[in-house]
Amino acid sequence: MTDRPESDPAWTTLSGTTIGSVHVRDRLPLQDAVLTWADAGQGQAVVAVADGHGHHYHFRSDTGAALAVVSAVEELRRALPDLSAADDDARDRLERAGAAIVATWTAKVRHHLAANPYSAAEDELGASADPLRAYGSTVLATAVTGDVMVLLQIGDGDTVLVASDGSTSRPLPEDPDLDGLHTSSLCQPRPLDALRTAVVDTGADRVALVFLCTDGFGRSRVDADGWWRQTGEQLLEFCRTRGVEWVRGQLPEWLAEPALVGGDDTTMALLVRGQGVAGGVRPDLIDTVPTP
Amino acid sequence: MSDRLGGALARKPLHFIFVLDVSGSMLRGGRIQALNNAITEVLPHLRDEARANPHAELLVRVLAFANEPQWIIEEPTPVDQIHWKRLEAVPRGFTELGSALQKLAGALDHLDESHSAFPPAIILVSDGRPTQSSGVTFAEGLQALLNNRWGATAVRLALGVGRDADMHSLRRFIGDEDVPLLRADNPEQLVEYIVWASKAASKVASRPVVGPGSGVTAVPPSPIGDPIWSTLG
Repeated sequence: MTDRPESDPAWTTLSGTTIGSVHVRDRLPLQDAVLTWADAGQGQAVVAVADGHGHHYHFRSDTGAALAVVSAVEELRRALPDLSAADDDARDRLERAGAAIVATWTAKVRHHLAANPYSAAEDELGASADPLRAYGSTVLATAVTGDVMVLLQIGDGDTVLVASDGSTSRPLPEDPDLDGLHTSSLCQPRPLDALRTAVVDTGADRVALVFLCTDGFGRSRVDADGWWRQTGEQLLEFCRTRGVEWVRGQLPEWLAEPALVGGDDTTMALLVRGQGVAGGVRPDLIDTVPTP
Repeated sequence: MSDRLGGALARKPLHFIFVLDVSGSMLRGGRIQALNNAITEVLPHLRDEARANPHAELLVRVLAFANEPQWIIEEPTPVDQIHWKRLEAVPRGFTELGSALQKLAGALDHLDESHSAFPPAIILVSDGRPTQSSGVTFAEGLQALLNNRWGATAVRLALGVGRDADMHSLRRFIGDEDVPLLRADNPEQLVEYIVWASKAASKVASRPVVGPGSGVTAVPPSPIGDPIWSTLG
């Protein structure tokens, strides 16, 4: 990546997703989802990943995850024009965007359910008694406009910021309900109780990139506490020394190994600062969601 | 700098713990022989499960209990490396299940504290009512287990043997009313039920569910053979 000034407003999006070996073994679909959007001219971008729960109670979680990333990108794009500074107004707007994501996801799920009612066998699992459960999913999303970056997350997975000096941080507060065995979810009774948010001034904090990943990427790491720092440092170094296009080309392989060893679906999305990189944004992912 | 993003990967441990009753009553009707046969027969199935779960390192431990709990296999051992030595029942031995669960809870304290392991699978087999000659009641032992993070989140299954099995205590051990509680009334059933429980536990433990409930939904095998242990007592 060209070492651009920190004030460079352009952001490049990268993403990838790979089905886990256990999903292949059990003939389950890919239950992760990812969606990115970018407008290089406006210096705006949004990335979202989601991890549909694997248990058979959540038998439509692939759809739930897909609806989660669509909802997140829609609502964050809707919020972008209101974000002018990393201040309390931005934090309030982000909270409202989080609530809107939950509401939009719920509405989309109910719409899907109306068109695809549960079968009698699915009802025996209690599907109708708790109609959102079958679609259960996490959601992680980040949006940026100019120097204002907003981040939100419900459930497990990792959101990591990398500064231009290579330092890494997890900007979101901890979720006390995440114990490695259970996750918070869009399908739980009060999902907003599990909403975690952060607003960052990317100029002041010299943010060079951010990556979001589902728990399939980190869960099987030998260095359970430090893998995310290493990942952030490597991504920055790779972007600088080999270029964003090289990183884009490596993503499938990087995701395939944890998906094979750990067994879970594995997904990552990145926002990389700098519009002068070879290839620029992915044309196939631009405008996949109608402008709100 | 390595081109491998994020550092090295490793399979997560899936701890599989059998808690087996070797009290004096297990001498009746060939129960202890049947239990040994059942464990011998379940090992190949566990090896199959291990092969089918390349993401998990299936590690087995065995705790037996009569007058006191005793580790038969104390170190978590890969299933391929287990060579089963037949258990002996303790003549006139009590059923100190509370003490056994307390010992198990202590062992779980030493499990991986990181958030990267699977919940353990615990399979309890007993043919009698828990005694408390050691001073530890069943309720106290169970509470000790449930006070442990791993004990509370473990996939807990239980099998009764014969008509004297205390199904009420076994149900309390399982905790989840939706999980089948089986009683084996002959050797063939004991084999089938242990195989079923082992498969169900390994599948569920390696894929946790959101919210309450253990997620054990595999349909248990139908009873086969004559209920000889119920008629013999």
